[in-house]
This record gives sequence, structure tokens and C-alpha cells, in this order.
Amino acid sequence: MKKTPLHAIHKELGAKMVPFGGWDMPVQYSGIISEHLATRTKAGLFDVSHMGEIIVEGEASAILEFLERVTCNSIESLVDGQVQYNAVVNERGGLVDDVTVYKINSEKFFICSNASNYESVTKHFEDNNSDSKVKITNDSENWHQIALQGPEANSILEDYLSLDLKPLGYYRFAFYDFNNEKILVSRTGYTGEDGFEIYTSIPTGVKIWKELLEQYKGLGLLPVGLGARDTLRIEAKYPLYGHELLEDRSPIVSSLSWIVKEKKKPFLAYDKIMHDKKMGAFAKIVGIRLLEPGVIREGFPIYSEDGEAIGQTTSGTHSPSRKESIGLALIKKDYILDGQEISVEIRGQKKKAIIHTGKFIEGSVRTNK
Amino acid sequence: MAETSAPQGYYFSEKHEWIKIDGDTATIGISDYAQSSLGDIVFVDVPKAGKSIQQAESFGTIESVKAAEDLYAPMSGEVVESNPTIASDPASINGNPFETWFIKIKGFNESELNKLMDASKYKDYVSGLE
Repeated sequence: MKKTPLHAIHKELGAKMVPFGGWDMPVQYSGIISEHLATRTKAGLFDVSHMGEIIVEGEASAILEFLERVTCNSIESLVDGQVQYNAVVNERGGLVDDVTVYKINSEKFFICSNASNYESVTKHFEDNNSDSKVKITNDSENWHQIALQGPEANSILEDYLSLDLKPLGYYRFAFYDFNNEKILVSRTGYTGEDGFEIYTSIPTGVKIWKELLEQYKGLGLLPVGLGARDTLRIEAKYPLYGHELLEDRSPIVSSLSWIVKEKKKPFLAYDKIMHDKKMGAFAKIVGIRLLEPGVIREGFPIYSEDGEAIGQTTSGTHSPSRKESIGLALIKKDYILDGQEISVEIRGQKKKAIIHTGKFIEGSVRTNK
Repeated sequence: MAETSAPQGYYFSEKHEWIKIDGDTATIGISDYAQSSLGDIVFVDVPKAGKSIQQAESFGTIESVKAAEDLYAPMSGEVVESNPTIASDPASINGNPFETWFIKIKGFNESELNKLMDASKYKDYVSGLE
């Protein structure tokens, strides 16, 4: 099993380790609920070094053509220093992965991919680069990545780096001088809170992790494992590959219509996906809340009030913020209505639930550009 | 991991439920090791008074934030009471696993104790799992 550079430190911190996509990762340190609430009210620190970093370089026109073809969001619209949430599409109109695309300049893009997918993303990129017009490098081994998330993340990182980070807007990034290198800091994350992802060399990443925990423990900063990472992203209604996003599910069905853009240079399976976007897919991912005691998990059947099978859950948990069970579910289009009562079958028992199209939480995440 | 606690007078199943006998009533819960492995407990579903449970068979469900697990009966008997606290404050199981009981049963047969472990055997059993 693969280990991140922080593996030994996680064990020293008393983390419970679990296998995750081929990696031995911390699922929790102090407890999922306390880590979750620390991130919602103060700040949490996440080891995301297992994620992939892929660099695409070449002539501006060749890169633009290439990235427009393999992703569904508009690459053309990006400016230098901007990050974009995007998805890599396959020939069948499904997703290879969801990614963040960093435009360093017109000739160099940095792509952050999920841990379990960066090899398939690299291969897919290479398969679509048969004319070798762009240079694709899977550079994951050389990058360390940690995420600092929460309403206090900004003040903690400003203090630690002795920098004014206010000019760094939502989904923007910059390189800063630190520890004799240029570190990449982006105002991004996957918790629904304000915060940063920090990309560095491995030794610098380990140093930042240790020093942040030592220096800001008193402010309520906690290390956060995969358990709370999942409860935080479900509360924020963010999809996760392998659950809401699949290689044979269109981004429209996955409720990612907002990152599917009309293009002059179409992406793979463009007509199929754009047809879904215009006409509406047969089903979509929506939020649901359980109205009875119990916990929603992945793969539970969903029924209408009349008892018709109308979908199934794709993720579910106990929400530490709402103190009730919430989930994401794939539900037939005609039944999707905010406040619509449904039932979720939990181990043979039908329990009352409700469709919740609005937010689950009001996080500190910034939305200004 | 620190050594698990297991008080004298309690008997334990391999599935980490405990049972404590007082006269004709036996009280059932889960061990410190079980609560620690589960993490934050958020939901427990146990049978109401009047239901029968069978040794080593599932009698309910316990859910933490991360997972759902079956509860297995340490001994057979008839449920006479369930603890309302585990529904209103499931986290109390994490805080106090040997006080926060789940159900009380009657009509059990003490010969079933020979399939269970006493506190010291259970501690050895748990240390062998780590």
C-alpha cells in the first residue's frame, strides 16, 4: 500500500489508518464529529498528498485545443492565476475524473486529479494526444499537497506565511516564496468553507504540516481525516468520483451541468452531453434529508410516496452540523421537487425522507471572483 | 492503542457485546473496544420489550458516522426493557460504554455463559486483535 510523506506523523498523532484507493490514509484522529466541527467553526488540516498532479505544457493553441477536447468546462475563458473546477470526459459521455485546472500561463497548465484516478487521467490524456502536440507529465510523485480549510484558515495562513492573502480570490492561485522555494497556494477546497490548498516539495509540505499544527492548535486547528472529509463534502453537496461521478454517467446526470459549456472546439461526446444539458437528463443527483432516526448510506433504494422505485442513494452520512442524516441520491427527473416527500429503504425498512434542493449548510466558502 | 477497559463481573462475546447478570435480569451493551472501533455513534436500533433474542444472532443495528454494524446477542432471552438514552443521546455510548446499556433481558440460561469470556480473557482476546 502506498504511503504519503506524512504517514508516520499521522500515526504519531494517533490516527486510525484505513486503505483508500491503494493508499494507507488516516480516517480519523480525534473523531469524525470533532474534526468536522473544527473545520466548520475554526480550521482543519488535511493531508491530500495522495492526489495527483499532472502538468500539460506546449504551444498555447495546441494546449487550448487539447484541454477543450478532453474536458467539459471552458478552458478558453480562463485567465492566468485562475483555478477551475472541471471534469475529464470520455468518448461515451461519462467522466474519467473531476479535476481542478490551474492556468499558470497559456503554455502551462497544472491539473489536480483524484488519487485513485490520476493514472487513468494521464493515460486518457496520452490517448488523446496521439499527435504529441502537448507534453503531458504525471508529476504526482514530486508534489506534496495539504489543505487548510475553515473560517479561520485565512487568518492562520496569513499569519504563518506573513502575507496578505486578501487579494487571493476564490478559485485563484499564486506562487509565494517560502522555505527557499516557490510554493503554490490556491483558495480552493472541498469542504464548503473558505480555505486553501498548498502545493509544495515534499520536505516543505511536511514542515508546513508540522508547524501549522504546533502553532495554531490553540486557535482550534485540528488534523482532519478522510471520515470528516466525506461528511464535510456531503454537507457541501460536492460530488465524489466513484459515487456521484462515474465513467458511464454523464456530468448532466451528476448535476454538473454548471461546468458543461458550449464550445467552438467540442469535447468528446459533445453532442450527447449537450443534448442532455438542453433537454434534461432522465435523472439527476439531488440532496435528501432523512426525517426519521437512522443513517442514509450509499446504494439504498428510494421510493415515491406512491411506492414507485424512483432512484437510489449515491452517498449518505450523519450530518454533524445538522444533527440528522443527509445524503445525495440519483432520482428520476419527474420526482425532483424541493420538499417532496420520499422514502428511503434502510435494511428492509422504509423511512421517510425529503428532497432538499437547497444548501445543507451555510459555509464560509467565498463565492466572489 | 491504550489497553482496553473491561470491568469485572461483565461477560463478553467475540463480537464485543457485554452482558451483566443481576439476579433474574441481564443487561446488555457494547464494549469499550467496540465503541472505540466504531467512532462517533449516532444511531442505535434495538428491539422493544416483549421481543426474543437468540445468542450469537443479530438483534439490532448500531451506526457510527462512518459505518453501520449489526449487534449480536451475547445470550438468548426475552427483552424486558430498552434504554431510551441510547436513542436520545447515542454519543453517551462512546463516553460510558459500560454504563450505557442497550437492553435488559429475562428468561436466559446461564449455561450460555460458557460461550462468553470474562473480563481478563476478553482483554487478552482484544490485545490479540491489535
